[in-house]
Amino acid sequence: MDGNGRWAKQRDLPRTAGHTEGESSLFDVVEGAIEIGVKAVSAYAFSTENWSRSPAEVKFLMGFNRDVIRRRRDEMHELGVRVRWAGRRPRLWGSVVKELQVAEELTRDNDVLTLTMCVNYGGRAELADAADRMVADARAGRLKRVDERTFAKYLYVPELPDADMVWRTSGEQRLSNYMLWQAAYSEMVFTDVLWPDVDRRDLWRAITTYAERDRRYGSA
Amino acid sequence: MMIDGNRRWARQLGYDSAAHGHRAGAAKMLEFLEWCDAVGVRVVSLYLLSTDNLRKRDSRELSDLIEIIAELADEISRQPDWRVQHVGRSEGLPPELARVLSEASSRTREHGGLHVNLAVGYGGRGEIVDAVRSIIAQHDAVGGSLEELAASLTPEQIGEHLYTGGQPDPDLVIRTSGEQRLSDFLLWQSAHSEFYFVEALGPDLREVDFLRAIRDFGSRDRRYGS
Repeated sequence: MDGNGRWAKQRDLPRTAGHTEGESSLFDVVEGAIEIGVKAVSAYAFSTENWSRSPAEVKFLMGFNRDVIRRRRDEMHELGVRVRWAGRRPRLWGSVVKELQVAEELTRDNDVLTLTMCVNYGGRAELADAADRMVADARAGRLKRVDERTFAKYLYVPELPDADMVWRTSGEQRLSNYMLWQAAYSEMVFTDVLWPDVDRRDLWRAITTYAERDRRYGSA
Repeated sequence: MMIDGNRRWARQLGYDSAAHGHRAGAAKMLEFLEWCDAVGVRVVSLYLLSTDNLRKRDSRELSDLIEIIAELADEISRQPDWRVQHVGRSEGLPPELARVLSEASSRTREHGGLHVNLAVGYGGRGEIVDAVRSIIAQHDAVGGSLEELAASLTPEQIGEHLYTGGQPDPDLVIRTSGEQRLSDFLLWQSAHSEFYFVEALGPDLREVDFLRAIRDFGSRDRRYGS
């Protein structure tokens, strides 16, 4: 969900205005995903690297994430969306964690689409946290071997399938430490549109691009 | 550098063996390394053979490819002052190939010029698993308890135990043939890399494509999340 800052700058607005405008983009995309039959969407809401932004912006983003989850929770539940949180606790505001937990609990039995909110998420941090828990389980005699399959079980949301498509808006062509493990074989689709200007049609265009690709998974 | 499209290139030219494409691709990689050296790039990683390739390609093509890779590794190691490092698992590689890679690495160990990582028998997820195993093993060896290790495993430690431990992360990942995927290459290391995709098939890569990639990279605004 990239481009909020640039969108705001283009309009001489503070960066936070871009984030605010971006909320409706996400939920339109979620509805568009449901319409087209996508079963899982993960949204990169706040990364472990974002802590280095200005204290004012960080404070805004914490409160904003908290408010958005609270505000949109019932709507997601009505759509049959199962909300999950991918991320780590250290530094994350307790109020944000609480809203995420309430949303997870409320929507636990839904099965139309899983929406994973990545809040205080980092791909490398996720893998280090997974390794950490694997070592703890090995100590307790609960884990016999460390391999790719068992590793996947220790990710924040282990039931998520690998990502078929990673979609990044605003034209930047990088992964920015997002879902490194899960994106190993994903098709990457880069769109120039800025996130606040995105709606479900941009998702569908990205999926069309994805559908035209030839996926080989390392074979011929 | 993810060189892709060798087989398609061979097919387009009417060859029925993919070996022609792999051979042309290998020659192109040598040129590519020279271009890198000429503009001052210090470390280049070539994705030559993944663990997936080892499992899935039919055996005739695979044995051709292995021979071509061995020749390429040997040739790269004979360039004055380039340093070769094998990045990947030696177990699972045909012994001859493993030997060539090992010799290329030791022969060039003192070289201070272009550092060339040859990713052969490489898988990004496997590399991360190997790093974690290596951290655990090292910890055991110094008599540490698993209890001490748990809750202290950091991303930095994992980085150090990768095959590329001690090296800087790649700034730029280039992939040929128009495909836009990571294909399990340098998953950890490329977390903040810029990606550049070239339409040309591997053997058709031109120096101007490379220079455009560098120029494009130079104009990117790398924010690292801030």
